[in-house]
Order: sequence, then structure tokens, then C-alpha cells
Amino acid sequence: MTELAVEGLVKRFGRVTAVDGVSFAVRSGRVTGFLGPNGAGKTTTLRMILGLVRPTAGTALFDGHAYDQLEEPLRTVGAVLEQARAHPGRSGRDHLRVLCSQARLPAGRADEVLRLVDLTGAADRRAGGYSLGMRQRLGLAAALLGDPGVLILDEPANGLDPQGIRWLRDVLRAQAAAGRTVLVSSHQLQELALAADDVVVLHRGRLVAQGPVAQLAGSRRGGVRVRCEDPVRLADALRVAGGVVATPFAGPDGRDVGGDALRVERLDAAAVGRVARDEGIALRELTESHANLEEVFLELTREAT
Amino acid sequence: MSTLVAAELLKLRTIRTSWGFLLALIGLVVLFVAIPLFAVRSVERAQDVRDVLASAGVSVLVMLVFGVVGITTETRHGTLAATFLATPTRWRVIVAKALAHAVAGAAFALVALLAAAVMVAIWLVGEPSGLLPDAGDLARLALGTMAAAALFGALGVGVGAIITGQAAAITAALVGLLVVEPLLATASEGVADYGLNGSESALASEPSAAIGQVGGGLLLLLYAASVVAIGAAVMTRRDAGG
Repeated sequence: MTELAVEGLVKRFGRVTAVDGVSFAVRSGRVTGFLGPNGAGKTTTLRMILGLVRPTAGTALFDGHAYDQLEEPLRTVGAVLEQARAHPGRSGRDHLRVLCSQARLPAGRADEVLRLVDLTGAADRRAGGYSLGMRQRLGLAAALLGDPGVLILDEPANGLDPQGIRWLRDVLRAQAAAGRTVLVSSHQLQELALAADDVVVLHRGRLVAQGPVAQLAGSRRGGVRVRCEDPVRLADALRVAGGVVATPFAGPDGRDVGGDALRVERLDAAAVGRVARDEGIALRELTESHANLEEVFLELTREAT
Repeated sequence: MSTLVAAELLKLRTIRTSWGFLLALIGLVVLFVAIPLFAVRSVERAQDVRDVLASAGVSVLVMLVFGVVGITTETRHGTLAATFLATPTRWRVIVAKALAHAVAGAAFALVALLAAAVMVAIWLVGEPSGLLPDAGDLARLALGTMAAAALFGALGVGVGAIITGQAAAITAALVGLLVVEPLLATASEGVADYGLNGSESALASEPSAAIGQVGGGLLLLLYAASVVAIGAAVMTRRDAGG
């Protein structure tokens, strides 16, 4: 299956550098989340990858070919972009028929992808009357028309209800499971956390991290969660031992005002256990947790600020 | 290229705007033909009948605007990005769009001519014989009008590729053709004879034209091709989307 290699992409609009030397690779058979806050440069990067925006420098190659060199682009890459919409006066089916005609795909393919995205019932309605969620489904249908090896989706979950987001995640997982290369951008982490295998994180036009989700999250300890009989005494002892201790419901002095759980950083579970033993405090729970994607993302974009 | 032209023609057939333009054109022709025939009753000679039929020449203006709208609508609604994703070589898209609008222009002009002809035929029933213009002259008028409408459709696409704002592009096209060039023509005979208006008159085999029908057609083809080429070059360099 086709893979995507992005190398040193730069885009300047006048004096503003929207994308600043971004390089990453997207592997087949995996869902790669393209993350970053609003304005990070995600959409501009995707549009450069797809040949819609001319890069100031750098390349984006699909198995060695730039998008505008692909012989049959829709059979190689399917894209869902906010900027690539259907004419509001044209029906969903006609929108897809036009694309089939342009890409020399059989016209019957339009109905096949409409079924795939569950839009057959609205196929003959004008796209201008579609809800945001229906427009996203139509966009995805257009991307799937040529049964491409690569899918690139820009904020595809916008406007989808929770069921729609779950459906989208399942579609993305299924596409990756079939060996396709999937790159999906989002500024909302929850949408992606359950679908992405790899992430590429962009902030202010620069790449701040990339790699497998598990590895990124694992590289950043989420600390140790500990519950015990005397959390106040244990917290004091842990601080003496060099730990940074917080409680889930910490009061102004950092001490617990609610439950009995402590969150300890800078000490691992073994060290926390030793401190508790030395203090003679019985533990009810001792868990070493890793940061989730959202925590990693927030930390990375905070660091880069 | 034929695939792309077919796709562009399918685009035109699948939106109401196209049919709206055709209806507006028929409405204008009916109006322009009915006034001299039935209201002012100023038609007395075969030449007058020919002039009435030449009202179908309004297709040229309608097609100019239709061509501009055909491409600026795509920019406005963001459909141009979808088009460029399917065909990344942008000049091919612009040329295909120009050709599709040329085909539409010829078809629209044919409908306009038929509408005018039907009205004239109805009017002729109650009139003395000898008012029918020469068949060869009518054929030249019909072919010339269709060719002019075709070329103006393509010209409109070129203008819309250069100026992406729909209102600005329509204004520029109409003001250029109906105000700027006629003003320049008052100062220069060359502009009057060989400008867009002059070459269009020649192509429609107007007796007043300074050059022949073929010459007018070739000149207009040169203008349309040049504007489309500039539009394609501009579109190729510009960032697309939005």
C-alpha cells in the first residue's frame, strides 16, 4: 500500500510562516492522527500534501510521487477537506457522479459509496440542504470513490454526533485494517484517542512530536496513584522523599479535601511503596499510570509555547 | 480532455443555475423579438426580419456572464478544490471548463435562434410574402451567432479564472465589453473594427462589420484563447481552496 513521506514542508504567506519545516512519515495499515490546536498549520500542511497549496519549500510524496504527478489521483489518495465541498445546488449523487466522470470511474461507484456512508436516502437531495454531519459523510463518500490506498481527512468529525464519531472511528479503523494509509487531523483529542495508532503533533507550524500513541504516552509518566489509611501523613513523607504530591481534590494547601487518593510524581511505584512501608501506613491501592493522549498533547503544546 | 469536458458538461446539467440562464436567455429573446414584431410594428423589409432574428445575439452577453459564473461559483462554494483533487493539472480543468461552456454557448444560442425563428414564423403568417431573408444569409447569421456565443462562454471562463470574485469578475467583463471598449472605439477605428465587439459583429455577419465573418471568428477565437490561457496560468500558480 502507498505510504506518505513529508519532508521539510514550509509555507509562508507574506511574512507569516504558517508551516515551518515539517517532516513526518505516514505508514500504511495504521491510523495516524494529525494533531494540533486551531491555527497550528494542520490544514495548510494537508493542502500542501494534496497539491492545493504550493509549498514555499519541501516535498510531500506518495511512494515517491507528488500529488500532482499521480496518474490516477482519486484511485491513489482520497481526501476529505473542509475546502473541498459539494455545490449546494447539486445533489449528493450528482456530486459523486461528476467526480466519477472526471476520474474515469464507473458511475455506479457513486451509489456504492453512498451506501457505505449511509447516505443513500438523501442521495437525490441538494447538498445545500444537508446537515453538517451529512456533508461530512458525503465528503468521506467522495474520498472513498476511487477505493484509494491513502485517506487524508481534515477534521472529519466536525459536526458529527457521538454516534457519528463512533461510526467514523470504526470506518477509519476498518480502512487501516484493510492496509490503507490513514492520516486524520483533529483539534479534538477525544475523537482520535481511540482510533489513532500513531500521532503527529503540530504547534505553531512546527512539528513537536511524532510516533506511536503508546510510545508517546508511555514516554511521559502520568505519575503514581496511591490510596491509603492516612493520606495526609503519607503525603508529607513522600514530599520529604522528593515526590511531588497532589490529590485529586486538593485544597489551597495541596492537601486532600475529599477522597483518600494521592497522585505522586517524580517517584516511581516502588519508591512510594518503600516510603509507605517505612512510615507503617497500609496501602489500599498503588498504581503507576501513563499519561493519556490528551495529557501528552497538552503538555507538548504547552512546552512549545 | 474529452473526459474532462464531459465531466464539466455534467456539472452544468446538474445545477439549476444553468437552466436559469437558459430561461433568462429565452425570456430576453422573446422580449427583443416581440417588441419590433408585435408592439412597435417596425418590421417592413426582409432586412428588418433578419435584424429581428439577430436578437438571438444577446446569447453572447448571457454566455459571457454564464462563463464567469461557471468558474467563480466553483471558487465561491469550494468545489474547485474537489475538482483539482480529481484533476491536479489545473490548466486542463480550465481548458475543459472553457470548452464545456463553448458547447453550452452554441447550444444556448441555437435555442435562442429557434425561439426567435418560431416567433417570426408566427408573425409571418399574417404578413405579405417576400419578407423572408435569403437562406444563405440566415445560415451565416445562425452559425455566426452560435460560434460567437461559444467563444464568449469560453472567454467568460477565462475572465473568471483570472478574477475569482464573482461580482467583480461579472462587473469587469460587462464593463469592459459594454463601456470601456466602446469608449476606446470612439477614439480608435482599430478598436471599433478589431475589438471584441467588432469581431463579434463580423462573426455574426453583420453587414456593418469592417471585416469578414471568418476573419471576425478567428480574431474572436484568438481573444478567447488568450484570456483562457492567461486564466489557466494564473490558476496554476494560485493556491486553491477556500
